[in-house]
Amino acid sequence: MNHTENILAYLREELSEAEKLDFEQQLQADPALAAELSSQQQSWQLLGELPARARQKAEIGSWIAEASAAEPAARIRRFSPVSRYISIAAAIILLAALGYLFLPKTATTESLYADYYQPYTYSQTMGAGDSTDSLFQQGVRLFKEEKFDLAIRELQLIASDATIYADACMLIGAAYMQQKMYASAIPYFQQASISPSLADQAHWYQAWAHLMAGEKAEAKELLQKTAASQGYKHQEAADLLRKLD
Amino acid sequence: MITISPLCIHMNKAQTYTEQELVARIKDEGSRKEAVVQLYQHTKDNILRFVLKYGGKNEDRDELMNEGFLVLIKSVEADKFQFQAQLSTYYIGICRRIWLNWRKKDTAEAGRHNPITEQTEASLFVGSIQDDIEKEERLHILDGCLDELGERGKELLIMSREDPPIPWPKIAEMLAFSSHQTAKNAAQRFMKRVSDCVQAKLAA
Repeated sequence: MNHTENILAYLREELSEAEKLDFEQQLQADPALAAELSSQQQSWQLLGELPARARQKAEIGSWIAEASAAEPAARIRRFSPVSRYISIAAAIILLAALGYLFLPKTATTESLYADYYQPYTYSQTMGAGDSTDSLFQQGVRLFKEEKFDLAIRELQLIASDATIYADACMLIGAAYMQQKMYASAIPYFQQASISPSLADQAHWYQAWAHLMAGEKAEAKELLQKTAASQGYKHQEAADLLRKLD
Repeated sequence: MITISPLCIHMNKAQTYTEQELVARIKDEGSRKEAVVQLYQHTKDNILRFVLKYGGKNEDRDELMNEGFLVLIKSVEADKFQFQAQLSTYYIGICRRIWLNWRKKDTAEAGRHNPITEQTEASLFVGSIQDDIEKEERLHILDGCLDELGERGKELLIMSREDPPIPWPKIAEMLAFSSHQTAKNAAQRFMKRVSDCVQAKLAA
């Protein structure tokens, strides 16, 4: 066991007297280890206070919500000049929305989804390895069995410095897509896109996550990247862009 | 004939507490709710105006006020509030400081324009209220960093922090890890990630 791995055991007071002595000697000899311990120790102390704080915060939150709900009229007492501008802006937006409703439409997001979207499938095989790989393989298995929530839980345990981290992010994003949790999928596709081998796929699926979350501008920006890449789904991305315009 | 229940009349009457009563109720968990609600009602418009003026949205107000109450309760319990100002003014000052911490980039500008000047505020905060605000800020950041781990990671770290400690095999069983070593390894990684996240956000 290396000394960094001893930090949690030290904080939980699980080390034997001999191990503790050895660890403390290492702390004196290794400033980086001492700094790491100090950093984790601060979070560790705060962590102990968190459950009680969460309970108190939830309780106060419920009182605030109750008090706020009891006075719905209090928020619209006066019309300041700012409120007037807001009202005018709201009226303009409403008119624009009504105009939009009566304009002929090219295609709805749902129809495009039905025509273009195919769920992500994972086909790469990983070699057997350390515990991180086994977590990944378990995540892949759960994903393939369509146990998406369990796959997400397993894959989220993979460390960000692991070699298969980007693949794990891709799978987590895809699992969220399958659960129609589009906003949750976006940051994972973003992480996956850092890997050059996954960037095109990640951009394509992230574009879909934005589109399904109603963020058309962000979706178009990513589709432009996909279309320009000449790689994965570039033709579909170009078609989709035309239909979105 | 229509009759009005005396209970209804009683319910419509808003109880207003004196400063001493408010403080006593904040200290007493059993009657804290009434004091919190009264302070909320008296200060919410002022705090909303401040939040909107300095880059926030309507929905930020209640989150800010919630955090403010956590600090206020600690401060009152530790007798740091010495009636040097009205409790509501003191509470608004706390919320303002928390908000400035949340929006550090705007600190200088907010400090120049706020009706409660730094000098006036400093006189309110005798004792180490600033420490309480900073600690609350660190807890807020830690909570956010834990959320980034996902539900299972958060549960794992909170469970591993229980006092007295829960043995690893028990934690592994409760959170459905394949072995206690897997749970322990995951907790080590998460602890490092959370600690790095907290340091990065504090330094930002």
